Amino acid sequence: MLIDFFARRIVQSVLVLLGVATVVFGLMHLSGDPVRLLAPIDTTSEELATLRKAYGLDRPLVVQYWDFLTSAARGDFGTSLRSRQDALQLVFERLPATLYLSLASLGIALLTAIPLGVIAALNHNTWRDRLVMGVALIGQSMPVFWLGILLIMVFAVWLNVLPATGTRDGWRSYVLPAVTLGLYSMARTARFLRTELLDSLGQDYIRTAKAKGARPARVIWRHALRNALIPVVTLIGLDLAALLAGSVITETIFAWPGVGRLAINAIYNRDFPVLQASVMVVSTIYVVVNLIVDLLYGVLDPRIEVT
Amino acid sequence: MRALRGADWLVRAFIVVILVFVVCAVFAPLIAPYQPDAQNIRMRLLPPLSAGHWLGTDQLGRDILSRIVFGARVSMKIGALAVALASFVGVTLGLLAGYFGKRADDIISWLVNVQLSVPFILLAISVVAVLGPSETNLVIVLALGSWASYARVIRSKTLSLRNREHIEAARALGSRTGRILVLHLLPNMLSAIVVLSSFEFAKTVIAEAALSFLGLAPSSPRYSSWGIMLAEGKDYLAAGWWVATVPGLTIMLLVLATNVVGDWSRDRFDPRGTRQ
Repeated sequence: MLIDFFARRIVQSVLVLLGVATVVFGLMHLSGDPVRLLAPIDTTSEELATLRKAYGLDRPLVVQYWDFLTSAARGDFGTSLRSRQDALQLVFERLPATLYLSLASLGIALLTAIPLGVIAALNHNTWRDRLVMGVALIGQSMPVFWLGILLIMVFAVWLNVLPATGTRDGWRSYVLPAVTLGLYSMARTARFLRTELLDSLGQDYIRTAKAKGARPARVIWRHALRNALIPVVTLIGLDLAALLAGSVITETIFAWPGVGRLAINAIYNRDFPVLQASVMVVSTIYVVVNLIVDLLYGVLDPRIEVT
Repeated sequence: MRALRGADWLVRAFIVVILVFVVCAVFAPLIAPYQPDAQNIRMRLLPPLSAGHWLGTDQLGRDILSRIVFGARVSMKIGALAVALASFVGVTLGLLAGYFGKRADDIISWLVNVQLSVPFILLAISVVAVLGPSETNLVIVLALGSWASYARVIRSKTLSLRNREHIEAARALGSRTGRILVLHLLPNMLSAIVVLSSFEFAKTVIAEAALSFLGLAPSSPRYSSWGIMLAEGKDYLAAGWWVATVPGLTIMLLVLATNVVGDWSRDRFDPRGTRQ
């Protein structure tokens, strides 16, 4: 049964990645003639024909598609049209910066969301609860790009205490981008944890623990929070994936040398191999993290059904 | 008004906020004191509460209030069209996947998973960069970022309703499939669709502003988007904090209002929830 579930989910993930590869391939052909996207505007039609041959774009679409899929499976996305480096190599060089930023954001989000969620749930329907939930709701409604600008304005321009861009200042460089990227997750996790905790506080085993004379702190931390955290953990897995994908705007605002900014610059420079490699890598991470979370859930909770 | 029973003052206040934005969008030329693209270099970077310019002026001396009012028109129009397109496509596919199951469900669910696995902002930017930033392309791209949520929710609702008695009865009476889908299944999902649409609208407003912010808006000077204002204001944080702050707060206010009203309407009309 479990093996069946594993196998199905893995096949499903591979099929999804095949779909993503098709989208990535299709993007370039969306405009009809991809050579025009690659070549400078003043290229003559003879030069275009030569380029078309050089990139193999004169072959039938099906052949190109098959070629793209097989190369992509081997990790070959061609070389950057700008720097002449291997496209996948470029993405991998930028990946650590994005990864560290995402982890820092996730850390900040959890360190604030868990206490906030607990405070809100324990003070259900009091001003504390409303204050925390109000702040969380505002956090969820704050567009990343506006939050980034606001933080730069206050902490870099006015107070001049934190750097606005780059990665040169050690941990201080991380503060503003990580808070910017993490606020949404923080707000969502705090709200979700509060709901789960309220739910779990109403269960029989909490009454039992209390009746046995367990101290309130122990009831909350050992009994209620532990059970409330299980669904939260799956949300965190999804969050990390979403953070990786969502760092595009944050990296642009803070001039962060990660995959997101690489991809944006690739779009502006019409550097399609790099764009294709970035989208494939980010999507693959997303799909794999989701797969792992699902498989873990399948192990942890035998009631899970294949959908 | 009966629908509002039980709404607290906060929800009522945010409903008023949304109505104000709608009025601004519809009557922009009557409400805005200036043309959104009228420049006046001698009046540049005036702070808020200046005479004649309540919200100040930007680096080209354009009236910020007027640009915000016209920006409401862009955000609301593009947001509404994108959500309409996304809900039409998503609901249709969700109904088909849930009702027919098997192969149809496999294919549609696969499409949903693929869509959700591609980082949306990168996809949107690529499509706009390749096709060119027109309003139509923008609506299509934003709908692309939202149809999958509808398909997912409607699919699972359809699955749970498909074998209910009234549907079986309709089938037994020989109703055609299209009739069952539209007349018997769809009405049961209207509240879920409305609730989901409020969240999707908020998401779309943010996405439109994000694309404009990244420089992928139609380049006509008549296209005054809050995202563009924010991007321009970013370069004047020291000289005029209000140039970026006013559009930033505006986007936040509209999104917050939509989310609050969405939360409330979910609790009120669709308590079993359409979203985590």
